[in-house]
Amino acid sequence: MNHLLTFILFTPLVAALLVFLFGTTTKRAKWIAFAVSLIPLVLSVFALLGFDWTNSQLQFSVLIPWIQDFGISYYLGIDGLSMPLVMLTTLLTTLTTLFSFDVDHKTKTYFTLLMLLETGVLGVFMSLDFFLFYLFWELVLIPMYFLIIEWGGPRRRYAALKFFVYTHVASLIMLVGIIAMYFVAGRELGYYTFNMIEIMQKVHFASSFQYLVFPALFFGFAVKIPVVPFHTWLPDAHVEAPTGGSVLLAGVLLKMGGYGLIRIAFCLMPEAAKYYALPMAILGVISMVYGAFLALAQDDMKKMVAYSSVSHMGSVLLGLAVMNVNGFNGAIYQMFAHGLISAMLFMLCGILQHTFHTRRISELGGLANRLPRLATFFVFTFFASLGLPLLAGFVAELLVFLGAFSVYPALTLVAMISLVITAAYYLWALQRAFFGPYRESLEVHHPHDLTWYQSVPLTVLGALVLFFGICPAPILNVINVSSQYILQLLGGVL
Amino acid sequence: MIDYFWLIPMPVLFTMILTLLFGKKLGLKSAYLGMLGTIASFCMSLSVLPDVIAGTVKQVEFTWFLNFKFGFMLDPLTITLLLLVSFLATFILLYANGYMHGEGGLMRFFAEVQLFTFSMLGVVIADNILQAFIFWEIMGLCSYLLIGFWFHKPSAAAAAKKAFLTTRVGDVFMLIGILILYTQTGSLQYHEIFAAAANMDPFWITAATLGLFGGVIGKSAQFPLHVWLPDAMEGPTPVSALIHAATMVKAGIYLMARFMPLLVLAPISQNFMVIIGLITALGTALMALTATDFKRVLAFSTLSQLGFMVVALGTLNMAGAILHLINHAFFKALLFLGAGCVIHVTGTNNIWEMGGVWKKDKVTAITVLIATISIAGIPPLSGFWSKDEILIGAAHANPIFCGILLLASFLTAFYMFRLYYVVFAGKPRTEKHGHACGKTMLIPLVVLSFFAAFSGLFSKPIARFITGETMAHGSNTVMMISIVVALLGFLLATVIYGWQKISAAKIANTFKGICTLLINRYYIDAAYNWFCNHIVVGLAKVADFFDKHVIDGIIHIVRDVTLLVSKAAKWVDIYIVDGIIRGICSGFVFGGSEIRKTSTGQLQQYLLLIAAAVTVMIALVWGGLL
Repeated sequence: MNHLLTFILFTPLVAALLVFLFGTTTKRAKWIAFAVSLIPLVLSVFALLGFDWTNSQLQFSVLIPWIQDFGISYYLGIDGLSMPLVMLTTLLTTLTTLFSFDVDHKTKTYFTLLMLLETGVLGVFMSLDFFLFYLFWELVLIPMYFLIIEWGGPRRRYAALKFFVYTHVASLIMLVGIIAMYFVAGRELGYYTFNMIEIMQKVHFASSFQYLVFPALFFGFAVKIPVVPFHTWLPDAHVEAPTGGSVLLAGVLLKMGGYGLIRIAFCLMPEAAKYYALPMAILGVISMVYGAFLALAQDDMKKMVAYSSVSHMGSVLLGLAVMNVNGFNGAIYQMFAHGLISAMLFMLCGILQHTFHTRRISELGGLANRLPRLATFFVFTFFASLGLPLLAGFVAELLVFLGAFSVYPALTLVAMISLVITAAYYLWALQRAFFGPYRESLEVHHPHDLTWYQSVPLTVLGALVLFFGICPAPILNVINVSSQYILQLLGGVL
Repeated sequence: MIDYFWLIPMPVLFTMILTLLFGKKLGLKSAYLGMLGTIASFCMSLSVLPDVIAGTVKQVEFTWFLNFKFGFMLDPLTITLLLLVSFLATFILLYANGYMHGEGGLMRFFAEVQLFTFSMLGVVIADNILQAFIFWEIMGLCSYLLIGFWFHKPSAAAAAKKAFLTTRVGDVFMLIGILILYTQTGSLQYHEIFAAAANMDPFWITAATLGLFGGVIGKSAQFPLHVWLPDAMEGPTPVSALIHAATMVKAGIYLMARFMPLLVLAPISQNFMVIIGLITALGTALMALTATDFKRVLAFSTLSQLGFMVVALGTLNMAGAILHLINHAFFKALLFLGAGCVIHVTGTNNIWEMGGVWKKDKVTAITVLIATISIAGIPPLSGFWSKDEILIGAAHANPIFCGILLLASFLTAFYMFRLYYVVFAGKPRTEKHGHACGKTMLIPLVVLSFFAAFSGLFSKPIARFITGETMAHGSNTVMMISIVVALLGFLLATVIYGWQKISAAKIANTFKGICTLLINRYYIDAAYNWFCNHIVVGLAKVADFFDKHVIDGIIHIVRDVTLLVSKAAKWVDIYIVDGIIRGICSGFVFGGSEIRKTSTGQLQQYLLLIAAAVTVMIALVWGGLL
């Protein structure tokens, strides 16, 4: 049981190797990837079942010294903050693998990269050592870059490069912050260590140092979330990325930003987090409203969905910036809910592209007449994304607003504009693409309704969105413990 | 049973799920399945009624997540609405069984109707504002799906979107109200909020009630968010009946009545509500004068009647509002179902293409006549009693309010009888033919007409039941004026449309400007359209431009500068760094080629050179240099 996390973390790596070695035919590559990706999923369900949600401490932790001269250790552990995200990652990878069954181009490499990506993301969510964390943080970029550049759309070179360079530059700035902390902490402790938890518990950084380093960390994470104005890599990456890449990009990669912000920036620099709370809240609100308006202007369905991610992830930042329990719970729950919902959204956009070779809303029309099942999924997912009650997104938004209104009432009112705009772009898109008379010219593509490997992931996700909308308690109880704990850390400097 | 009262909405949910599972096979029979659910809910409500009358007030709470609760409550207001909604839904479903004959997508239709009914039951049985809001929003979804039921029609798709977005604007205000209540009282439970209200800052009470009322403006279609309701008739007629009579618009009235304890403390909100109610009551009654679509006239009349109810709430006359809600539910459901029959029989929606329906369909003609008399406020039918109650309340608050309502009341009688004469009297105006209505369509009409006629007679006991107070004695003057006004409306309609003594066209010509204004619904819809298409979408386009050219522009500048620097570096690298290296290299190459010239291959020359070198070395060693 001690090495549960290790198993979860490295099974995908083994899977990558297996796919690469034995995935000689397309079919074999798919099935190996799918079958092996079930293992971390099952293991993370075990972790969830074995998770003690009355305990705010790190669980399932493993600590093995690695490069002792620099104070680097192999240190994994999860708490209520990372548990839902680990769950999300293993789940979405499995479903994405299944959904990608129609990838015919270099299938073996494609699935190898997906598996590598999973290890990278899981590593980020589990690592409690800065060095390890950064290693996985950067590891994530590589498979994603290749997924875009090899299986992407027409402007894939531009998008892949922009994605890579932009996020890499952000990572480097974050690294500067991490190294600064390493040295200052080392001086204070008398020995050098990359152990996050040790630094967090034993070192108190001076305020002036915190004010200086926090922005560097924030920038690194803000680009990932992404927060306006550092978001422009996202729509390009999404538009060009293959469906599987987009699903994981929106579903889990963006959450790395929110996660890092809490785990590192907030926990290690609580005073700075308080100090910069208002600017962060403002950025969050701008992301929400501005992102929603951007989505309204798009004709490409996938780009619209990409901007909706900017808007929804803005509420994560707002929820974190208000620093109360509702805001925190809401923000973390939003990461989970958005992971499920945006995965559905991007899968659906992928189906559109696959079926009609276009995602332009203006070139579609009346699809509900021809493809009722696809239309049903679209309606469901759009309403989930616009925050319909009893679906997962609502609870998250509600908690964020409840938390935010008690701290920044005026700002919250501005943020609520996004509620109307979000409904507007989704319903407008539905009206133009799915309702009205069917556009007969689309018939040349011989559209067919969903295949089994498309409807299974969508149904699973849809069921979860509904389940966690009606019963958020299983996940929120887990989240709440960590929220309380982190808020105590933050409260200590009040 | 009383302990399990919170199960009352569940049969409807259960049959909805069954409909989803088996609706494809059942087809029209899904209506009967749905009726099983609504009848079960109705019977369950009925079984707890004696206890509630005896004074039992029940509340059950469960934990939803963390410290958020979900719970149910049972009090006179709740039970009244539970009975009303499940009763009406039963007959609307029965009617739909006949009306939807030959339509596709029946599983979808009946499941959505049941979800709609379930959500309404969910709103009224909730014991906290969050849960009410949840079902309130689900109702928004149902209205969207049902108004857009015939989604292949562009007008239906547009109307569905309009309904959801317009009510969503209201819902945002409602959510603000909820946020205020939560931050101020720390709770979302009704009883805790009301308990805490005494210590609340009056400013926040006003703000919260105004916020909640914003939601009501959306859902109950008050000015200025009334625009969605007239378009909502794009849905099948049973849906219109559901929206106008049993669910959706009534939820708003219910919610404000529920918040009466808070509203009492907020005089500004009361005044605001009265003003909005008056504008709606009168403004929409005027619009009904020029409408030519049967269902649209009814839609305007709903708006106007809702205005009456909002005025009643604003004047803290809860009994009047709820009584009118009940009576209106009966006669408006009847009117819509009757309209469906008429459309069935005549094959058109346009009243000027109808005529002479009296002869074709006696049952519809008589039942709709009852509803018309009832809504016109002519005693002793039900509409009169509740309208009178509202008028008295308004007169107490301010005679001007009462005057405006009387004017609206006059208009109501006039346009309703106009409608009746044009549709049912005279001869058919066109050759269009529909088909006769089946039994399942006519039975609901007969049943509802009974209630539309007599439900008013129980006003006093119902009012006492709901408010716990005996109704104040009515003022006879107001009552007399109200009767006279209604009769005048009836008379004028008879003169113009019954006997045709005065030409309607002439009047329309005289007031051409006003008519155009009314036909165009005061250009409010057009203004909203313009605002959305130009301002909102314009803003989106501006944001898009900004994103593409400014934010990304900066990124591109950074990229270009970096590339430029790297090009400069490349130049430096090639011509300077590499240049030096190459210079050295070519120096060596040059030197080498020069030195090569000494390699002549002649041994004598080599020996000479070696000898010279040895000599030099010896000389150097001797000199101590090496």
